[in-house]
Amino acid sequence: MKRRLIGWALAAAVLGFSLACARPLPLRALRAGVKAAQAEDWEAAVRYWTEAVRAKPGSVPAHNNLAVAHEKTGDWEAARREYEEALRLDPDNSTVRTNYAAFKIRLGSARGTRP
Amino acid sequence: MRGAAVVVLAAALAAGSACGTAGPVEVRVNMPGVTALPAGSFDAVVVTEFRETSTPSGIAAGRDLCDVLAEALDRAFDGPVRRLATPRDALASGGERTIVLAGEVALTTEVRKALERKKALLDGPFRTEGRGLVEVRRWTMTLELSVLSAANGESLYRREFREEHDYIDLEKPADFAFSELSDRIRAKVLPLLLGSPTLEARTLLGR
Repeated sequence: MKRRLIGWALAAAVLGFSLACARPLPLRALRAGVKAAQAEDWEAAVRYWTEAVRAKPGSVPAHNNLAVAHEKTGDWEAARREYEEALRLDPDNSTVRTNYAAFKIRLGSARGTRP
Repeated sequence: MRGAAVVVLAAALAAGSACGTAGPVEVRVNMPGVTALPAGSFDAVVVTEFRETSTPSGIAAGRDLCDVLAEALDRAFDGPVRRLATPRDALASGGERTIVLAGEVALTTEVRKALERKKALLDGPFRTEGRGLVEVRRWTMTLELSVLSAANGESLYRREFREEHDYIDLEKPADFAFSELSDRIRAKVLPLLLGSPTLEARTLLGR
């Protein structure tokens, strides 16, 4: 009887974990994108993060990550748009602010005067 | 029963690790170089002799800097690189998808007082005893670079580059300083035109 109880308790724990870990689509896509980026598969990362933004347009992490991906591909204007959107959604996000500052410094180093 | 419990426990551990928190992830990203002009927007480069606004006698800084940049571009750029005396000659050719490098260069020098660091005591901000002042010769090179379109003379980009170096040897010859400073300017101009990738740190967000 006692063993049976333990078995059920464990089963309940599993169920609890599973429910706690069930992620909505944007979060799954977000994390899949991070894994893809870590594996240097930036095309896949962009697909995942675009999917995350589509599912949740207000996702600050998705906009931040997309901005980094656009930097990687050299699409500076797209990167700027995504950073600015992320900051519009969360102006105090220190990670986005740091990334955006580094982006602007890098871009600014190439700037002269464009008549 | 024990077997089932072990399986369930393993499943629980797996589920637990799968839903671990995903905080910020720092990545090192090899990013393409940032260029002054859109990538692939030109096929040929003409480097013209820079107009000298101030240079010591015996140094043809305008012509020599033109040579330095043209040689470096020739090695790094796939398309043709030509040298011409004046931008007017380059613009007269009216080459499509050709850019012209022009502008002004100055090479100046002055003798300055400087702190000799070996003799300096750093235990107080205003103490002067024990500090030695030496004279150094500072050479400064300034390049006002303009990038023009050969097709219509339109100014595409303009920027000032300034490099300076102090020499303890007051008699350091001008050509030595020119060689050193022009090399630094070359190292800044080329990546601007051709781009060079850099490794950058960025943080990705997982939630």
